[in-house]
Amino acid sequence: MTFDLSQLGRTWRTEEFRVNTMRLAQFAAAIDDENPAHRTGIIAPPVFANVPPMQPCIEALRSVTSMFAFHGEHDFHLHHAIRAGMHLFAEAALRGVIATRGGVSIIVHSKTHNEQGTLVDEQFFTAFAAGATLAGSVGETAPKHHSGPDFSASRPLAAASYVVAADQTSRYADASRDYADYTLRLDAARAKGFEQILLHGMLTMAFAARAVVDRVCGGDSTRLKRLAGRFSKPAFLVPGQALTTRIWQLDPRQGREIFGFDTSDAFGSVVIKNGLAEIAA
Amino acid sequence: MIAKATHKDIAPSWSAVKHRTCTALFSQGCTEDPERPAIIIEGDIVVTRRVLLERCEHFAAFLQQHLNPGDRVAVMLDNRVEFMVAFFAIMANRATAVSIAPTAQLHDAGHILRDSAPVMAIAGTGQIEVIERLRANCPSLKIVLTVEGEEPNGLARYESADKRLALSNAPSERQDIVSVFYTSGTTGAPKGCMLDHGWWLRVLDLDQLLFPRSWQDRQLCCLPFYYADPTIQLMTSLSTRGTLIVMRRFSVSRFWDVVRKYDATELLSIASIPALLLKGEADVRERDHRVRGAVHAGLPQQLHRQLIDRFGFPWMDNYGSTEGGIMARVPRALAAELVGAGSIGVEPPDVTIRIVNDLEQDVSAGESGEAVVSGPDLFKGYLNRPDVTAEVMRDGWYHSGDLLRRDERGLLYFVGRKKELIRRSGENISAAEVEAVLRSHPQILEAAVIAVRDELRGEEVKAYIVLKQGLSMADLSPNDIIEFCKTRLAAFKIPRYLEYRTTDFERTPSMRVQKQALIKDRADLIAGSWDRESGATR
Repeated sequence: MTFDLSQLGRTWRTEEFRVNTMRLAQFAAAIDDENPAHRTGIIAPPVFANVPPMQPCIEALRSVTSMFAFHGEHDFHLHHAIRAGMHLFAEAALRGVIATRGGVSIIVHSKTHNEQGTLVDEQFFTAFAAGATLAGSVGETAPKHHSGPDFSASRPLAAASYVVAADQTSRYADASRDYADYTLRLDAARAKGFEQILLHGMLTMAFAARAVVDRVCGGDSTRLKRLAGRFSKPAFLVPGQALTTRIWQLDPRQGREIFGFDTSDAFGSVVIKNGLAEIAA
Repeated sequence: MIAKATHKDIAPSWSAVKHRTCTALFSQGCTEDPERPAIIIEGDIVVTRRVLLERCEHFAAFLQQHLNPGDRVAVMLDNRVEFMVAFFAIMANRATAVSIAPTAQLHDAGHILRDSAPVMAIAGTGQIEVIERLRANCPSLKIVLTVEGEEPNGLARYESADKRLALSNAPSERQDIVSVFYTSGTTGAPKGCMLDHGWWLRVLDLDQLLFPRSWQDRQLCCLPFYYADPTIQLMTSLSTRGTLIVMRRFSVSRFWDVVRKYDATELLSIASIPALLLKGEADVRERDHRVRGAVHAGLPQQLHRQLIDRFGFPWMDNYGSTEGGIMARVPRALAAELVGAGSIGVEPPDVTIRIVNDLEQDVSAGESGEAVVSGPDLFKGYLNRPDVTAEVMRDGWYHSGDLLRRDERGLLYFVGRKKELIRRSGENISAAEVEAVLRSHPQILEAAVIAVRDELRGEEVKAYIVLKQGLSMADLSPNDIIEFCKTRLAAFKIPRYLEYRTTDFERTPSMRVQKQALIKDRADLIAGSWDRESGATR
């Protein structure tokens, strides 16, 4: 499989994305988020930020390769919360195509602005083509989001578990418009080599974000300024299983509280590793 | 030097649609993101692309046993998914869908069946009786299928579970006549307008260039499926990973609930829809939605600013027809500047509109005349009517019958229908222009203007008036209306006769006023009208 490296630096743009309470409330309901500001659609759950730039991110990825690539890592830099009434304009640029151990990473950098031109958020989306090879890397990796020395052996500050429902991926697909067939149909998942339907990576991340907002943001998602993690193993649609996010407090920096987190499935697999949350004081 | 208005900021022609046939576009659109909904019909009927393609391919395999290329199939259905299933399955067999309004009765449906001579008819349970009663007079009609049961499986009982015609390999050719739509016309019987793949693809390409869409966009369809527009909307949705949101029929009271619940981001609107929406009770729902634009054919100039201020998104005027496709639209870059200007915009790429007088000479800027249109992929003529086709298509120019004018920037303005002109003492009066003035009165809900015979002047202007709810003639007298017109219209255009109505007009399914209904069965159109010259009711 070859990779087209000629598109490095190119930017893809999408059409205006207007935000209303119903769409935000639908997203909150899809991730079973009970936070009143989210549930009523006034403020977006943090991971909703992934919705407006999803198309240009995928278009940037597909300009490099048509092969199946996992969502490897994601890093949200949330400058402003998304609120109902905003008119958003998203774009994404291809940042790098990097040969790594076991495959090739494709890194896309998205930016979402509001109608006044204010930068609402930036994201670094890393897709991973497992088993692929590349002679020479181009561009850059995403900014580092490792939290420092391994903290996971220490006692976490907090933890939260949320149960996955049978219709979770279906609801998430409708709320995000990510209708990847392997998140909705068993035959499609099997065609990709999995025995079960996969959860969207962003759905798993949204569960982790719920835990972070609930446990260490005092329920105020507007305080969450950065949310990052690596999708270390696929999570599956096993109705009734709980996804557990554990949170550790790390040293503060640049006036922000810093937390590490990971998310595990009910079978003990860590599905999000190297989680990082930065919270405004 | 005045800068010309253009669509210069859009991508080149054929950069949005690259398929050779609509069948190929439909097949690819259904295949590349199969679990994404293709159509959501109010009432939570969700049909994914995968299911839509399956339904079409199974039904196409059934049709393959019964149709030959060029055969015609009458389709007479409400807004149900099976309309689209039938449309694309017929197309895949190189046959032609003949669209009949689901509300048509023996007279109008009979005309279409006799004229188009279909070999097959597909009708809903509400329409089947009309088809069956007409069958004896339509010898070509061999097979009648009824759509019934759970949507989208209303045709499933005709299919074999193991037989599919792969649309990706369907033998469609670009010149195949995909569809025949009967245009109402102002005189004579409706004519069957033949459209090939080229017409459809050209409209799809232009529509996407003029209003680009994203994967997060969902178009709202509140028009009847038997029009071309909903099928255009479905195909542009499929090719941009969008979803078509469908109302069974337009309703002001349900409108914003449907928009919000199913997350519509774009409206396609015609006729009185904007006026009816403005007459709805103000509600927070009408601002808390994600609609980012509306395209409307014949936007009421006086309501334009009000529409934007109240609902919070731009409305752009579009000028098109079944024969000519998209002939003009307001450029998005000029939409804000042209609010309330009454302009229908300028021609899209590769289309030319000349405005000519009766001698076919180009008129000067500011003067009105008939719009004649040239461009690629116009309609392919009227079925069985080479005479009328030759009348409207001359030297490659489509004679629209519409009166337009163009200003010095090149912007076009709709003046009226040539055949709806009222000729009063040698002056031409556009019924549409007088109606627009009357509708702009804050106490008038709706108005319709017709010509009535007059011995002295040839014709006179008569206006039917519907006042807003709770108002009567005592609140807005005939003299008040005449005074209002005097400051807005040349004296010769001011209606002589006024007739107040307490009920809305009879309307076409697209909510246009049926003027024929005003005239039909009225031997004396003046009796009962208020007469400006006598100042009394006759």
